[in-house]
Amino acid sequence: MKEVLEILLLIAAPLAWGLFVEWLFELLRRRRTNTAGGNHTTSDDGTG
Amino acid sequence: MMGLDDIQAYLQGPALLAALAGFGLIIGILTGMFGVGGGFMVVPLLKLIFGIDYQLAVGSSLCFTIGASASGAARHMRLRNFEPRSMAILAPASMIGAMLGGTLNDILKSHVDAEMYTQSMHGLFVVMLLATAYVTFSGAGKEAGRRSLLQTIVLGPRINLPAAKLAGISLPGLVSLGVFIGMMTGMMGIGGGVLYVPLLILVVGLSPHVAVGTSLGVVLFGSIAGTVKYGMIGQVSLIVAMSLLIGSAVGIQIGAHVCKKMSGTRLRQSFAGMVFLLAVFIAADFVRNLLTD
Repeated sequence: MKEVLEILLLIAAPLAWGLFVEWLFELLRRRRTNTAGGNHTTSDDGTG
Repeated sequence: MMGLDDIQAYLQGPALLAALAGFGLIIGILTGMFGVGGGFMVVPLLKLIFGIDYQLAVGSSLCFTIGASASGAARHMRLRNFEPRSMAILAPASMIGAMLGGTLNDILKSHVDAEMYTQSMHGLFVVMLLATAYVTFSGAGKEAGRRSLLQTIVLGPRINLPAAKLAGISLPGLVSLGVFIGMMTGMMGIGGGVLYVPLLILVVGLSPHVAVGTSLGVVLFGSIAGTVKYGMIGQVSLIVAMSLLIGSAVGIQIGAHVCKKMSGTRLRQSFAGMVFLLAVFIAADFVRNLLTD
């Protein structure tokens, strides 16, 4: 049982890290895109 | 001047982990750009520079490749550089091929001198890499719309690869391709992605960008199978693998971004150049071993 868990860890750890980093970079990219697209000037009466 | 023994003595503890992370960054860039898992560089350099035992280097490299290829494949999927149907066929085919290759490897090794056999396989691998580099480079700039080998061979049934807009691909041909590459990796221990990318372009007809992403998906499954095999004999260091992954995580994003910016022709030419350099590196190591025997 212990050996099975060790092998599962050898697969799960790098897999989880790889997918987590990809997700993180995608999140950063989307935030950068949203920030760039959301820079609108408000109208004179302040209603946006 | 610092010799290799001095470098290995210096690289202990945190210095070793930092060096592995830096090394992983470079490997990650190649993974993101070219769809290779990095095993072909990681194994010899772990052995040569870090002094890690060969089997442990192979096992740790395979574990590292799980993370690198998963990250790269996910990134290329978002960029739509991915052909899922071909990946679903090639992944199990190459795992079967790897098992056959590993078995054939063991049988041949028991009948011939092990050292001579290993040197012969390295020599064969150098020849294959040079042929791959030449064919990939000379194929660059070919006109679009030309039918691939798997579209022209008379061997059905046939399938379509809608994500790559390819029709009439020979299914037995595709399966055979996966088994063949799997056998090469099983016999030589390296060469999954570095063989997949050019063969997906030249034999299947995928565009270079889609070949890169699809290759990473196939390599992911192969590396999981390989990690299980080496994990069962205690030849995987999670510390080494995760240290490499810390650096490669950033490198892959850089590599995938650069890949997106390159034209298909330039990507193929660059890939051919990388494969050629790899062949030279392995040939140099091969000659060095021959001269010291």
